[in-house]
Amino acid sequence: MDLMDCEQVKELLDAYALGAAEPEEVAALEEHMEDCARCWHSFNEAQRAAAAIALSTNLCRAPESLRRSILAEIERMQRSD
Amino acid sequence: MRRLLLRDRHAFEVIYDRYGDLVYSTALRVLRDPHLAEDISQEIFVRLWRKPDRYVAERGRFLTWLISVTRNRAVDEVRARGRRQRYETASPEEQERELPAGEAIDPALNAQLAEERRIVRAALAELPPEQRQVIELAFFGGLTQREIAERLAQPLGTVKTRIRLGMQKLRAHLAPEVRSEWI
Repeated sequence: MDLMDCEQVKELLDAYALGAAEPEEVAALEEHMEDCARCWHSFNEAQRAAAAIALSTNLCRAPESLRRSILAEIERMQRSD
Repeated sequence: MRRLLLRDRHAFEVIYDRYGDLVYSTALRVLRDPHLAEDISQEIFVRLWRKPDRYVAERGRFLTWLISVTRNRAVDEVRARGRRQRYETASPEEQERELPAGEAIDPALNAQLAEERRIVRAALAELPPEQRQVIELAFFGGLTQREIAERLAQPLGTVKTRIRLGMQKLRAHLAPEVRSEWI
């Protein structure tokens, strides 16, 4: 995909933040944002709204086994360091 | 976060206790499988311990980053397993009902997160159903705009417009509250 201008990026930012942009669009967007602080800032705002959507889901208690497994794995890693 | 960079285990446990349920619930919503959700959540937190420098503070808030990483990893897993069919066709209401049973969290346990959730759920509830649907199919279903258009048999332009308008409204609703350090 050709280089995007700020206007094209703006059109796609929400979809990108939601993970719904097409792969070829993602590549062009990321290339543009590497050099454009303004679009990067707008993306951060969009990403913040997108991440907030996760909070709408039913919150479940993570199983106690998850905490135990994570801490056990970390302990293993610390020992082998 | 600075303490996490120094491999402070207590700091890590504080972060897990604060965000573990949210990471797990997000993974569960995307994956719809408690065992897979547990595996992915473990991977996310172990990766955070091993490479906390992946999170760059200047680029945004920690919770936003953590949730985005979780959602993206869970979606990758769904795509790899090619198990999207059922999720895609279920309405958001059906999806809510079909979630595997988990122990619901007493909102009082984490007042800040509970308040945050209330605001986000209210903001989503105010969206027209067709805008909410495309946003949820994208975020939780892991579909691209083109896939959503195919799934709903709607023109791609319509899907793009719904996503843009829906996200615009969501941002406007969230702006005053989410300006804090929540997200």
